[in-house]
Amino acid sequence: MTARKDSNDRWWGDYQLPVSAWSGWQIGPLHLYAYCAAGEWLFRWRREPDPLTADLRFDSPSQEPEIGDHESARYALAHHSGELQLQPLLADLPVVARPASTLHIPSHQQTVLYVSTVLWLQARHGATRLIEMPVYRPSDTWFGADTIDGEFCYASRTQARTSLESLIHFPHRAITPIIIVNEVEDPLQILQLRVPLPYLALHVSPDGQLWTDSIELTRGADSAEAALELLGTDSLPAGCERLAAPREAAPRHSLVRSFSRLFD
Amino acid sequence: MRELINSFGTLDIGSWVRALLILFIGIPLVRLLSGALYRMIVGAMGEHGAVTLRRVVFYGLSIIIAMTALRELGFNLGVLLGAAGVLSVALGFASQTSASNLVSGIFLVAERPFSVGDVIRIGTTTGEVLSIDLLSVKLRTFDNLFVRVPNESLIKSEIVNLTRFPIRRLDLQIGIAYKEDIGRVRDLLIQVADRYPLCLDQPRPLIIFQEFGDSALNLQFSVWAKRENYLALRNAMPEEVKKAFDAAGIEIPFPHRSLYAGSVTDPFPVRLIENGASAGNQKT
Repeated sequence: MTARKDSNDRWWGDYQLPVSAWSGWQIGPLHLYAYCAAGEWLFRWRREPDPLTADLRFDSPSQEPEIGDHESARYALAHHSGELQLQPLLADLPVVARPASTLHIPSHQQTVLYVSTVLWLQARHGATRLIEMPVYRPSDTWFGADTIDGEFCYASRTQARTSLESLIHFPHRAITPIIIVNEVEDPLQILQLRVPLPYLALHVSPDGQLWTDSIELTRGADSAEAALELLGTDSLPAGCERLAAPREAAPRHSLVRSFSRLFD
Repeated sequence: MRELINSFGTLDIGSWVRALLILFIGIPLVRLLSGALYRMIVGAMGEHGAVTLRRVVFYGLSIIIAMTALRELGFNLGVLLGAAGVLSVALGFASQTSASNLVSGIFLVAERPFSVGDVIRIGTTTGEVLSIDLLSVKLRTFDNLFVRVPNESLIKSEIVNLTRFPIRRLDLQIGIAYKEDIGRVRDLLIQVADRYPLCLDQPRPLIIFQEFGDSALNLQFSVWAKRENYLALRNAMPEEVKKAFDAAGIEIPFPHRSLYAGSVTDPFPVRLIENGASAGNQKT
């Protein structure tokens, strides 16, 4: 009835969906349904309350998803078939990761943190972009020195693990390796960390885990700003394949506000 | 006046032609010049400042063009200036308020407490700024009324700009029953804020103990949102708090009073009378 070009557990890729019938995916907390009809595509979706739901499923529901329980969107297309492409993307704003417990990096030390962030899903019909949404809607947050100057980001609670072995993989989250270098005499206390996701590309490793480009943040004299360097696929597992380009072009070297705490 | 009228009889056609040329070339030229000036400075000074300067330049140069044309016609402008002096004194007394509004408008432009598109509150009036003009500011209230506020009163009043900064804090006053555990309520409220995506994760939500009230423990629950989402948060957060309290069995008490006859007496006994029972069965 439906066929995918990819044959493993990866939820992204090309789908040939039946016309005039519902098809459904569960990608972590997101339940997404698509209906291909004459002249339009109809989407309905809902999300589980738990952002760490890890289920992955693709099927054809026997019943139409209830309108009251789901959000919906319709797209009118002049000509179409049942071809649909699902593409994972990174967040459209930077993400502020707050470690579950405060992490200290002593002076002249460095470490690698692995931070996972929720993915966005984009559905396309050929070259036509249809729907795009986060798999789980993260909280908005404000990142700045005060409530006047700053920027909007998404918030993410993270364990900020320091070893690959302790990582837990989710089909709807991507992992960013962050190398943090503390070059000053004072220890660096990380309360929250701004990850510039729009500058990063998305990759998939041979085992199906999603990764972003790795980055290096070097803390200099100003404790709030760090020198950001994009390292590409350095620190990623071997054999990674690029899935999505960065949303925005990033400078090779720049000073960014990455370590910051708002006044209480 | 007789001199003015006599002047007409001594003019030749050439003077008239020159005067008309000055007017018909000068005025459009001034209009072009003021338009070009507006396009040059609108980026630096903003819409309002640029419009004001364009008007000043246009009217100022137009007056000069008109005076030049009159001079070409042979008018003795000294007479006019003398009459204008007397007239200006009279106008000055009559237009004190307008002049004050005009000057206040200039100060408002320079100080920029708000811009077109901002939402401001002046006294009890809240609205979106439609335009900042020479004499007044025009607002559109949220129930779609048009309000004109003189610049003079704006300079003298406290103006609250609701949209100046990108984020706003919402303060909810919540009362909980005395029997409730404040720490448990605090944790629950933080969970409510963390679950709602429009509520900003930073700045962190605040719970401030206000007082031991007459009927409840009064807390202030403060959460932040993007200014565009303030109304959505204003409506959604009380509902989410109520749902969470109901699910956790936390009471939001009604105002109540306890009656005591004295510290050593028993409370007043009360007996509920069922519907249909006779009044003679009542006792206190």
